[in-house]
Amino acid sequence: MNMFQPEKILLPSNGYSRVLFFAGKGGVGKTTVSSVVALRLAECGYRTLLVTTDPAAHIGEVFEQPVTDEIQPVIGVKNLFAVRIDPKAATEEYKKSILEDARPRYSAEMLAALAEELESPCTEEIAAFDKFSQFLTDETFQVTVFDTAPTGHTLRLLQLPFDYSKQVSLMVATGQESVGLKDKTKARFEAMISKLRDPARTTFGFVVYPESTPIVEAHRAKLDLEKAGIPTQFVVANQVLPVERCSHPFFKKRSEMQKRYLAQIVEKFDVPMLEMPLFEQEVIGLPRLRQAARTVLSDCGCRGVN
Amino acid sequence: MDKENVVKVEIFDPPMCCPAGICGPTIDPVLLDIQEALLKIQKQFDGAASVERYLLSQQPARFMQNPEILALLKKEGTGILPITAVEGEVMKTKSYPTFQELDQWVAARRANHDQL
Amino acid sequence: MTSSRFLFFSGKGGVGKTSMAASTAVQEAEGGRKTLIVTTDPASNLADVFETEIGHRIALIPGVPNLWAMEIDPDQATTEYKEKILGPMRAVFPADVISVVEEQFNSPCTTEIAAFDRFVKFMDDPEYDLVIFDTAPTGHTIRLLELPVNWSEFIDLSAKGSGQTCLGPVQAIQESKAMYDKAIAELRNPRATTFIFVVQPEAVAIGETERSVAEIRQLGVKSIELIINAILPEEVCQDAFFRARWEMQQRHLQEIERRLVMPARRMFLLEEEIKGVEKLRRTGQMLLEGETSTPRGDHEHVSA
Repeated sequence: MNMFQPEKILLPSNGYSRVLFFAGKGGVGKTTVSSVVALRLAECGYRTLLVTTDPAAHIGEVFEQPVTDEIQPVIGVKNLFAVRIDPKAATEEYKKSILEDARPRYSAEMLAALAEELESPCTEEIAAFDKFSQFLTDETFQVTVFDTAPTGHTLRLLQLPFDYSKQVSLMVATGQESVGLKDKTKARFEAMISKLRDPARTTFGFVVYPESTPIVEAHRAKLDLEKAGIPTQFVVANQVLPVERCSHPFFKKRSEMQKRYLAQIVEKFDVPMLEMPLFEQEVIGLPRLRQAARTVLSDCGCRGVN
Repeated sequence: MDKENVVKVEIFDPPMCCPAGICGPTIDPVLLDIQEALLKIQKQFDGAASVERYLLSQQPARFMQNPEILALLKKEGTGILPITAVEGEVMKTKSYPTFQELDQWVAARRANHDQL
Repeated sequence: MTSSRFLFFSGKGGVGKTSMAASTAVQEAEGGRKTLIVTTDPASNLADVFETEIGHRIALIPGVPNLWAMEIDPDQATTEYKEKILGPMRAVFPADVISVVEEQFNSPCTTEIAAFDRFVKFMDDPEYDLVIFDTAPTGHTIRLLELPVNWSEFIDLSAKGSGQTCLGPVQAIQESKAMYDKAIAELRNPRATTFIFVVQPEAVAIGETERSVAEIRQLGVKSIELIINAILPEEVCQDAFFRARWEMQQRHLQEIERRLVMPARRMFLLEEEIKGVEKLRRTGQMLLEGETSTPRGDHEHVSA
């Protein structure tokens, strides 16, 4: 039986910072689960950053305060910071920085040609990836929690360091400066890859609700990640109906269905499972987030460190 | 400007993410430099020099149509790229030309054209 | 029901897009229209809902005459796109050159272009009376749909400029441009295309749907409808816990009526998952009965 031991999978260890990924099908509650976990770890005293990579992020609604593309403290929670990757803003920033680097060296015609080339649709992906890698490798936070976009999108993002690393190997380095750049870039991607693969530094968790399709989808993604050498460490089963409330046959039937799926999760994923109940009210705003955090992670494993 | 008098410069690029190679995960300054040199050479000769760049992944036909390029590729593999050709003649392989080189080559062809 | 040729199901993930799209597909196909349901979601669960193998090809759905389905696999689409270019090269170049070029296709552009290409092709196919797109979740969908608009501009811009783009030589793109333009025109034509947003009565979903609807409108899409899914039936909510959730939903339903003004249909939470043709057929029937014709029509309870 796999026990859920928060100190092993949620907390920083051996002096490393810890990166937590919450992935899964859209609508399973990734944002809620990430927010709840991030809040709990911050409350335990860890300097925590919550990052959302979902272009349609609603993290601001959950915390009832604006979350922007700049890292900002979450008002009302000590040690907690939040940021969202806004692909549009990231693209603008990326274009600007490239053009600025090039400005002193090149002619106006060249800069115009460069600006045009940067209008390509792939610039957005590269720019968003750049931001992602920045947050992934940031060591100033003890814990970084990624609230990811729906599965397909996230798998793509995680595939990029591998793709890019391959591409960089193919770069025909024709000058001294290029050789240096090639090595440096390759080293950067390889550092990302080894961090993603190291279970002492990175934790992958899937969020599902106990129904067939989220489980099928998450399981497929788990296998894909394994192929890339990234192990899944736990599953959060969200929106579990409180059994004692399900006296009406309608909910009793749904609750029994959930029970079958919970058993299936344990068997199929073969990793520890954390259950998060369906709450009477939506988990929005700090008081409800706190209440949920204490219900789900009464023992966050920090042993009163702080 | 008579069309026959335009000097044709062709660059057979190494594999890159996109034509000028500046949309990849990292931007190689060498690629910016060659782009700049090519823009400058076109300006310098004011319509008397044309520049074409070809990518193996997007314009493979260009690599197949030119027997000299095809032979080089078959013999040396992609390591031979980039190749610079002026008026169809291979001038440089394995690295990009500088502006000075391009200037020299194009000027020499122009002089030939004028003599004819 | 609908007279549109293209239906796009959209909305926040997990609201039941696939079930609603699949139910609609069964309903329409059985009503006699030759129907194709396509998913562009890389993590599709269409096969799961129909309880049959589908995959990256057009497959007939057993038990429903007139209904076909396909799951566009982005990897497969990329491979097909690659082979168009690599095929002729294989005869001429040595293997190492081919493999370098092949690796080169692992560029971010290629996957995006290839998947998009497939998607646009279906909008140009006269084979079906109705094509239903069970689209990828919201943020991704918007990016996908924004592409044609940006791309046309991008192609125009590039043709004027250096003549080179990420998409290959301008010559090759000019052919596709006509196809992209046509796809955009179809998206904007209310007689051809309807967007159906699926939403659940919960705060976060409403906000997100409101934003997506605004973005889709901005892209020039005119025909937009709503399905409000997973409404708790009042009669089963006797326990205080569920009564509280029912009341919360009722507040959100009013909120939806106020903020999402468009033709809307209501769908109740069922006691089981919607899986298999039989359940899809029943759900499709319920959807039909849940139809309300006017944007601000009375929203009396439609019993399931």
